[in-house]
Amino acid sequence: MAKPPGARPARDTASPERVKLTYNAAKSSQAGVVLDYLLKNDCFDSRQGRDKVIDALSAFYRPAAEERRGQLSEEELRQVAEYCVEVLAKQIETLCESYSLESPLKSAVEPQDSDEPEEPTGRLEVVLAEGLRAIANAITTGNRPIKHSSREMFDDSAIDDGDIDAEDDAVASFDADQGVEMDGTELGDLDQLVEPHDVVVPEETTVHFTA
Amino acid sequence: MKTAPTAAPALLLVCDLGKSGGKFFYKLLDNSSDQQKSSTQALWMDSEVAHRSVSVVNQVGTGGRSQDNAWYRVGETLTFIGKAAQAHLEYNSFKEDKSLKAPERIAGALGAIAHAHHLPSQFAAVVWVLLPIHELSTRSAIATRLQEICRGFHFQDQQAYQIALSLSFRPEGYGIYVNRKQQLEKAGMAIAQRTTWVEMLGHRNGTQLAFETGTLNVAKSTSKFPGFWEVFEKAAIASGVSSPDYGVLLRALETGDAQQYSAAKDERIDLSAAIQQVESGYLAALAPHFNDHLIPGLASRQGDVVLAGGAAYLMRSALRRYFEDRGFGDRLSFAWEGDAELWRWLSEQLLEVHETPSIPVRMLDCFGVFQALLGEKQRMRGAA
Repeated sequence: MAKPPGARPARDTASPERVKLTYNAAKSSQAGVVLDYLLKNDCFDSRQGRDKVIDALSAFYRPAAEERRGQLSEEELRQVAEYCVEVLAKQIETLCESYSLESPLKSAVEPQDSDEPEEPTGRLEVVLAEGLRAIANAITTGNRPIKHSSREMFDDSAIDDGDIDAEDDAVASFDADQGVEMDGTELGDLDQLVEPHDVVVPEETTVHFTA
Repeated sequence: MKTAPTAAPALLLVCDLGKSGGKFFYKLLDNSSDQQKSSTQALWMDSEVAHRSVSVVNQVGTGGRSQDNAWYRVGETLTFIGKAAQAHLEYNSFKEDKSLKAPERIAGALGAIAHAHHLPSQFAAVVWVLLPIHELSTRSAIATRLQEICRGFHFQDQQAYQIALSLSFRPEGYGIYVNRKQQLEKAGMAIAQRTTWVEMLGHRNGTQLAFETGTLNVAKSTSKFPGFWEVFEKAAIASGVSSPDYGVLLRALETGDAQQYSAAKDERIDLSAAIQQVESGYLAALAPHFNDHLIPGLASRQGDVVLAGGAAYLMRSALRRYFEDRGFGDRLSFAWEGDAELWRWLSEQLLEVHETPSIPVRMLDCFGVFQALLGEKQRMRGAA
């Protein structure tokens, strides 16, 4: 059918500058219940409700979306993912508190009647860890990463063998058993700390001590 | 029960019971031959402690690494330490009991080591424990409780242990001093001829140990100057950085790069003003302590400052400028500098370093104290 004269051309809704999402859902469906809650809520207006939809979608999918878009560096992409994880973790905690659920997250133990402030060192730990990893890499030979033993720590055979890479001469040559002789006066007024507390000898036993 | 005439092997153990994790170094000795049974080992255990009734003992497993499943029974009570405690606290909503943690954590480590190395049920242990200088008054209570446990406990409700303890204490920071002594000796210098100030700059608070010509001056030592986190948070808020971007600001401080990408704002942000605010705020918070307890000593006599701790690492550039501006740049060093072999050895010792690369730095104080314990045993052996 020909367009009537003067008719405006159809609007290009697939314009490269914008993305449009239209979603119709039956009010009784699961999606309909959620959307109705977000868009017609007495506690916030529909614009805020639409923002909440985008926040939720972004938390789930933004890292993958940004990776596909390809405009962020690897580090920036990681930070986006980290941010999304934090948002999701907060929502998990909110749900668990609201509905008395066991949190599946490994959260900090809540102290009982503690008078110490909660230590918010998680982010500090991450940044320090990254920086110290850089130091560790810098002081090893070239770009070779620090080698970590794959053995169980209490594997006796590993203790006997040393389980140190024979090629890593620096580690193999390090003597952790050297000891440092202190002359016994370093602690000054705290000398009483040096005196051992009573030696406890279990009944009916003989235990030999060597100096 | 009597031991054999050739006595059970002795264990040397040093414990640094930090809030974020327990650091330990240990070594087994064969008393009868006085030969080393093993080399020095490092151990990391998480810090939680939980108690439960013995009625649940059938629900508790015994597998895995000893230090990851460290629990013991005394009477009708099960005590869980580290990862084992976390499991019970998470899945059973039990609150952590922080009131008596140190003895339980040490006993947990003793049990884990004894179990892993198949030590006999009775053995002797020399144990040194690091405490903040302002907490040294708690040492008697710790000793009493620990000796009570070591009179008899069943590790994983299987192996009974009775441990003859020789227990003493050292202030936190002492190990940094020992490491420094060793470094100077390698360079042909004697630490006792100088004054050494060890400044441990932590998240919650700071500690200073002042060693004057080789002896600790308790009156000039303190553990009550400000920690880093409170200052950081105030400065971040004042400069308009919200909590989602705290990690970004920390990264900017660590790298020195003020231009950072904010995932929360989805844009690059300039944190120059915030960096400046954190650095000036932290130095201002430290200034009363430095001016009262450190600068006068540096000005009046020869001596060195050793900075240690996570906050020292993060603020290293600002701290270095602070001391250089006052003419003391050549007297400043950081605890993690110097011994690359030690760093690598520490990294090799622990699987946990995979997840937490900062662990080697955190182990430095404990390592130094363990070296002092080894030195004392060598000295006594030589005198015998």
